[in-house]
Amino acid sequence: MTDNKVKITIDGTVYSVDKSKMLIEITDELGIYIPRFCYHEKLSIAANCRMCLVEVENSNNALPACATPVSDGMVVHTQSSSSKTAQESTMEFLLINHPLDCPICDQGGECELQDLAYSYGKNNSRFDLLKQTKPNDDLGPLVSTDMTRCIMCTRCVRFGTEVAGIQELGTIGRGEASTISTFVEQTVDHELSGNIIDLCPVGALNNKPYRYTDRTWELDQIKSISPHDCVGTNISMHVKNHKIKRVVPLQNDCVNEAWIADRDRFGFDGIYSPDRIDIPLIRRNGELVATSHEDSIRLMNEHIFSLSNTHSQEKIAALVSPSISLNEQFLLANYLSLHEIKNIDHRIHQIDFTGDTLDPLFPHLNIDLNDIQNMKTILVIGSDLRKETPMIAHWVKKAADNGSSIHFIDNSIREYHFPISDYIMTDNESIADNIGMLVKAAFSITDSVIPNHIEDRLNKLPVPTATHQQIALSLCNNDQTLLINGLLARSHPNFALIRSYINILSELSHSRIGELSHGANSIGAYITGCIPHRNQLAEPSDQGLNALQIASSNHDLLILYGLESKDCLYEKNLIESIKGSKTVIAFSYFKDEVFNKYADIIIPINTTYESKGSFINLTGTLQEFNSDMMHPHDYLSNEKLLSDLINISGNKVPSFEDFLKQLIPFIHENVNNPNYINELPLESVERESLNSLNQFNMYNQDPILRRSKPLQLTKESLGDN
Amino acid sequence: MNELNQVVFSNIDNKDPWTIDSYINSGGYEAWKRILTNKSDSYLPENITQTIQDSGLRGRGGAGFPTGLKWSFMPKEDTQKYIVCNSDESEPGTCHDRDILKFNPHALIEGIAIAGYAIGATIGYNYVRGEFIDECYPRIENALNEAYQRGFLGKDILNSSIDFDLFNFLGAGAYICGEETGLLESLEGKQGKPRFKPPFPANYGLYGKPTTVNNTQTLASVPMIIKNGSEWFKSFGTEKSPGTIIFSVSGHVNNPGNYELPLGIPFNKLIEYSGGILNGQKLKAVIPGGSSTKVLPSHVIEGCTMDYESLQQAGSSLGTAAVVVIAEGTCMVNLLKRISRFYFAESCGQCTPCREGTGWLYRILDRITKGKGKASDLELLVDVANRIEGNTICAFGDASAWPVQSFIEHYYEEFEYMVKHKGKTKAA
Repeated sequence: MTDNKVKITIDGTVYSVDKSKMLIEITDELGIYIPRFCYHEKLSIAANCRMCLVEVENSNNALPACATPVSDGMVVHTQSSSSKTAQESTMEFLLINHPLDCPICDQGGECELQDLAYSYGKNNSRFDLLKQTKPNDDLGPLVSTDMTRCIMCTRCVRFGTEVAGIQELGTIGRGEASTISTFVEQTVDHELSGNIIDLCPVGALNNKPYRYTDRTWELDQIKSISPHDCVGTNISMHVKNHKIKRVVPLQNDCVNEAWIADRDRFGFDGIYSPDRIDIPLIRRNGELVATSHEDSIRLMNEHIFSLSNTHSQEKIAALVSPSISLNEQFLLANYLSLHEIKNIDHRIHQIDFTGDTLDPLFPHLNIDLNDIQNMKTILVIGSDLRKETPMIAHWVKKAADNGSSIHFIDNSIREYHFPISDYIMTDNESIADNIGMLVKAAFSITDSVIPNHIEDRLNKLPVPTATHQQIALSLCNNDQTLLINGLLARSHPNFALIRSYINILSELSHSRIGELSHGANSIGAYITGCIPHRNQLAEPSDQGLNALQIASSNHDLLILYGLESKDCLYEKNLIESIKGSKTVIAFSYFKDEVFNKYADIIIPINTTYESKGSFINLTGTLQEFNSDMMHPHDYLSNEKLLSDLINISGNKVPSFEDFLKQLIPFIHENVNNPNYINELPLESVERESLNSLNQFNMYNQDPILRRSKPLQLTKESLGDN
Repeated sequence: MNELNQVVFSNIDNKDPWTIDSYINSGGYEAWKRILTNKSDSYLPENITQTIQDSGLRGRGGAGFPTGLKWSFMPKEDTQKYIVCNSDESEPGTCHDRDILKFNPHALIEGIAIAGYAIGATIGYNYVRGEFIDECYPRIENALNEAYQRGFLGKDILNSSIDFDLFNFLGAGAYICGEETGLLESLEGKQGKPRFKPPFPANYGLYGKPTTVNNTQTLASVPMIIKNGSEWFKSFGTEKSPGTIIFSVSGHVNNPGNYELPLGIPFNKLIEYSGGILNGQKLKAVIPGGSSTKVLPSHVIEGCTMDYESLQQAGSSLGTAAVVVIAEGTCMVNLLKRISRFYFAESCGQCTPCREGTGWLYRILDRITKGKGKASDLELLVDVANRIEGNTICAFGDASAWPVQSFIEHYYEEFEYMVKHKGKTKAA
């Protein structure tokens, strides 16, 4: 027997188990069930519900399995009468003040208390006194409260202090009067707060928009992936009659643990917006009129043909949302390339394209998500991390909690609920310079010779400050280090220079470079060729127009797929382009007001919530979604639509399966193995930043989020933070 | 030989015994000075701990755990350690710590310093009950200042290269903060909610550091033991319960008050010290160690000696030695209701059995006294108490259950009578 194993006897069977663990972890692993409420594997131990009391020999009292470390020779009886008595006692105490009105409680059917009451409760109550009631707090538009049902397990409180890092809920009062409250009246606003809904074992904290709409046992569960950022958060959609009723997390310890961001949970509501369209529209005499799918794609094909027949493909341009499925990207890119159309891009949040030739094969994190917590030093560059990718912020917080030093270079001071070592706050223009100063510091720390092509540029920069020195030291002296290149940096007018500096810094300090990307499937867009400078699987291509050039000029035919002008960083330019282009075809989920005025053909498409498909997340993991979804009989998939388009143009639809066979090894070869080129880009042109009409917030990042009613009622959206 | 006030209260009859001069005149701080100046082996920390262990001193806060043994649990590793004095005296009936804080604060300060030295703590906290804000706190705070002024505390005390800093901390008035881990939470600025154990404070205490928590009377006994030796201390009391203890006698006696007496004195002798039963009435029952200990009827307690073993054998416990004397004519139902109300009001609410159970117990008792009791209530009371006992994070659950169990065990017919007669007491 090794040193870290002990022998314990559970219900008469001897097991050799890890000695560092609590009894309940061992029984869970062995499949021996011990009832519990307060215990949660992702939270600290509270031992307050007393439901997991079990008989342990040589102990006077029953012991809580969640807080009892296993020890050699321990003899446990989980089914003995004294274990049963202790558990049934706890159940009786929990129920005396708990309302026994499960039929009208929203948690009914998925309530841990209700479930366990069948096994550990009695048929009648000995409690013949008045039950307590407790006051409710208004926690905002996402979480409903029914505190009379609360059993004070404090999972929600511990989630706040330990996972979110901010205690939005706490316990107040004592004895019977103790309750969960915000104390000072306020809403729960943390981007992960919705998780307290799942954590609550009873009906005290519930999903407010979903509340009282359906019974849980009538819902089908569909495994899916959240489309609202590049993390690829695993979700389960609960569906009835083809309609999504709610979204809950699917545990995946390599991606999102047991958590999802609020926008992953409540975002889907946007797909039921009243301006959703389901019939194709074509403009006749200035008016949009309904037409059939066949007509709409035939018309589109005619436009393409008339231009390609006259070899005017350069007058066609397409902008694609970075959040559509890999399958759609593949078909769309193929369709356009069949017609030799080069002007295609998905990078609608990027302004600086001068570094295109230095682009990695696909921008990715270069590290597994659950490995972030093992980094000793993390530098986050140009990122509103909590809002851009709440789950990455969560992993970075875990690293900070493990004691790693976290540094930021950003254009604004943002609130993080973990210890930060250094925070360089600079104006937007100087972000690149500040990273340059880090590079300078790193050259002197590592005693490296500055290559000629960089020297001039670095010489122009100010001397690194003590803070720069400190960050550079922390990066150069630790062996597990990560540079996170945020979305703000990606949208920066000097993105190419920033990224080159990051590349150099990474080489000097042996740090990994983690690149965040916009949308759910930017990696897919890179690999399928939805970029103007590369074809499928990063084959070089003649340079077409990039997103900014497309949005800043007029075309004979402009195709927009899955995006609206509001999604574009240069919204004004795009609106002008839509106005000025001869023909505009919008594949859209919604009847957006700009399309309503200026589009010539609007073709309705399904959101990824309603389609089968796959995304490649920022770690290069291909994740399928909705593969077991049933569709209504009149359902027309986006794949069918795009395949029809290819067919109608007289071509054969390329095989997605064949493409996947090439794609998997391609990712495998190139993921976490970056061939970063530490060149500086051509002197980038001074460019004023093109501000979107919309102020950035967590809940206006894509057409669906902008239409999600609950999210639009949050403080984040209403802007009274 | 006079057996009253031999150890903790040995200087209590001096003029202004709470002042440092008075304390020093009666031999105070001698033990501490010897430790600081005498470099002989007998004053090494481990030997101090050994002396306390040899003396048989047991924790006076209620549990009676051997003090020296508790000190020996402190890890030897070189890290910040703490000594914490539990002056959150709240057990109903108990008032000896209050008198120590008020009349002999320097004995406590000296005791904390010695304990800190023995366990390797350079920082001590004295957690004082919130309700003592007016009466005791100024005294102990003043004494602390005096001790600093005379150089008995601080850095490099009396050039000994020994550091010890002590701070008084005033609680906010919660019984549960007398539970040692609840106290630590409160001291850290959190809600006073006990921690589950293990880990025990010796391994994970204040701010997660090794910590020893001792009761006021325990620590105030230490200087005299170090000064006079463990054999001297053992000359008081019985073999298994050596030393003296302060009995807080309350209830139906003519002279209620604190009496420091050797452990093991016969119960009847204690009553004599307290001036006999009030107005010559007949003794009915005694709660021997604070309201949470089990009640003993007169015929049982009258045969007892007042020490740990005898009272345990009788089915109760010495607890805090707060002897609540109950004369004939007292309604045991109303008394139990009053006790249960206390535990209902003071439950921290953290864990289920106590949070839900204490209110249930109180409300059943309440309705019995209001004439609305049911025949099944007595069985229910005992069953609910049994289901709280042993199932909670801290001993508070037991404390709320024991009175209910013992009162109903010994005075069942009184409870039954009241239920049957719609709230009319049998006792009157």
